[in-house]
Amino acid sequence: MSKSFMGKPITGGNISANAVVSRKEPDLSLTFNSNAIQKGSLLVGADQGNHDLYHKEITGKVLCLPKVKTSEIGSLLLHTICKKGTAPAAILFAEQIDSDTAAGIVTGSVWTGNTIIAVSGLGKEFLEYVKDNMTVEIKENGEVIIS
Amino acid sequence: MNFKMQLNQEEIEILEGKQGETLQKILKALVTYGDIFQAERLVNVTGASHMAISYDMPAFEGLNDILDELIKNDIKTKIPFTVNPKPYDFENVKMTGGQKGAFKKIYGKQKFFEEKLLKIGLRDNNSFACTCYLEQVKNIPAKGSILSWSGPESVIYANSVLGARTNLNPAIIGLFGAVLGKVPEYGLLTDEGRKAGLNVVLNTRHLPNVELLGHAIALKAKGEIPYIQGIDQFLGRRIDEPMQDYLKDLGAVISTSGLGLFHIDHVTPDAVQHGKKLLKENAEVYIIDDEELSGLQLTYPMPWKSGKMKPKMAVIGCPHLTVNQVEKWTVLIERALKMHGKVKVAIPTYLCVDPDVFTRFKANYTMYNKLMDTGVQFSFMCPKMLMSNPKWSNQPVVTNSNVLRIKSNARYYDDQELSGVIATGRCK
Repeated sequence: MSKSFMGKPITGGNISANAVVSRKEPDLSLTFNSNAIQKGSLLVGADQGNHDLYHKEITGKVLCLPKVKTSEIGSLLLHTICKKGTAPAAILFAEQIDSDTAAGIVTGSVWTGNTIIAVSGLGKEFLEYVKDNMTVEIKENGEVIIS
Repeated sequence: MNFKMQLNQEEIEILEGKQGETLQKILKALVTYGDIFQAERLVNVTGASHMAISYDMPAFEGLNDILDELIKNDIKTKIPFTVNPKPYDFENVKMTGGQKGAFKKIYGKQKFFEEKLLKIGLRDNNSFACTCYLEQVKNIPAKGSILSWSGPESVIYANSVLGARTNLNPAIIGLFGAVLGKVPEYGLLTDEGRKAGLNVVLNTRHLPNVELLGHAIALKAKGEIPYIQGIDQFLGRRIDEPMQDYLKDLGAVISTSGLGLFHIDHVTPDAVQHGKKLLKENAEVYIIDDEELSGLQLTYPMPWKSGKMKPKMAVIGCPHLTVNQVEKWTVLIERALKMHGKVKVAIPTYLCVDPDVFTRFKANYTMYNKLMDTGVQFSFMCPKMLMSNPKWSNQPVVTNSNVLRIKSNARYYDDQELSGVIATGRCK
C-alpha cells in the first residue's frame, strides 16, 4: 500500500530512494560536522543527542524530518558534503525549509553540480507515516509517494 | 534558466555569464535562494556588510573553494566589511596545552583564512568585531539602508536599533550579497515582514534585568516579532549610552530564538515612525511582571556536574562590551573587592571587547590602570567559540550573559552576584 503527500518543491527532481527519518529537529552542525571532514566515506549521523539519526547512513537516502534547528554553519556543511558526493539524495520537510538549509542546498548545487532534492511543507501526517527504509518516490512537482 | 524573480537587464547579463563565471554562479545562487522565499526582485545593498563566519574549520572545504575562486578572479565585496570575532585568543586567555591543542586542531588554518578575508574585502585586522555598529568600530549603517548581514546579534541590532534593513542571512548568502551588491527583497526588507505579532507589555516595578527579559520574550515569540511597551518609563525615549547598552544585550538574547528584529515603543526607529501600527491585527498580548522574570531564572538548570564545583573563570561580554559597560564593570569589580577585603580577583576574569573599544577605554589611563590592578584581563575572542572547545566546554565558567548560558555550559549570574563570585571565587 502506498500513500501520497504534496509539498512545495524547493529544488525539484524525480528520484526514488529509501527513507531515513528524524522525528526531532536535527542540528545539522552536529549531524554532519565530523562527516564533512572525512574523505571518501559515507555520511553517517554523528549527533549523539539525536538517536533517530545517530550512526545511521544518510548518503543517497531521503532524509525526512520536521524542520532543522538553525545553526550558523549548517549551510556550509551542506555545501561541503555536496562537494564530497556524500549528501543525502533528498531532504523532505514536514514543516517549512529554513534559510540555512536552503542556502546550503542552493550553493552546493550551483558550485558543485550535486543537487539535493528538497520538498517543504509536507505536513505532520507525512512524518507520522514515513518510517526508516520505506521507499520514497519524489516527483518534480513536489508529490511524495511512500510505499 | 527559469526564475520567478523579476530581473533587470544587468542581472540578466550577469546570469548569462557576461561578467564571468564566478559572478554568474553567485547571482544564480542568490536568485534561486530568493525564489525559495518568494522574493520578487533584487535590491541594491547600500551599506557595508558584517559577516558571521570569522573562522575556518576542516569541514568548511566548500566555503574555502568559493573564497579561493573569488581571490583568483580578484573579486571583492562592493564595500569593505567587518566580521565576527576570532575564535580563540592565545595571547590573553590562559589555557592548558590540551586546550590550545584542541583549538589548533579545529582552527588550524585560521591565519590563512584571515588572509583570505582580507583579500576579498575585510576592512582591516581590527575588524574582527562582535559589536561592529559601535561608534568606535564604525560599521554603522544609516536608517533605511539595505544590508547583506549575517550573525544574529549584529543583524537584530542593525534592524531594530539603527532602523536598517537586513535579513538574518546564512553566512554564504550574506557574502554573496556583499560581493554582488544585491540582495533578494523579502522578509525583514519589506514593510509587511517587519510587523509585530507579539505585543509585549511591561508591568514591572523597576527596569527588568535585560538578560531575563530578553529570554522571556525569546521563549514566547515563536517566530513573531515583538513590539515591547514600557521600556521608556525607565530609560526614557532617547537612544543614549544606557539605552544602547540595554538594547544591544536585549537584542542578543532575543536573537537566540532566530528573530532578527524587535520594536521598542517610542524608542526604536520603526516604532518612532509608525507606532502601534506596526502591530498585526491579531498580535498576541504578553504581560511581563517581576514574578514572571524571577520565576524564569529559577528554571535555569545547573549546567555543571555538581553545584559544589568552584568556578575556574568568569567571562563577561557576550555580546562584546561597550566602553560604558567596561567602565561600569570597573566600578562593580572594585566595589566587590573592597567589600570582601581583597585587592585582586579570585578567578581569571575576562572582559570581552572589540579591539577599537579596547583602544578607546585604554585612553582613560586612570580607569584602565585601576581595572588592570584588579587582575582583570581583556580579550577580543568570541566567548561562544571559546566554550565550544571540547577541552573547555565542561569547565565551570561563570557569566552574566544569557546568550552564553544558552549556547554553552556557562553558569548565569546577574551583574551584582557575578561581581561577588569574581571577588571571592565562590558561587552562591
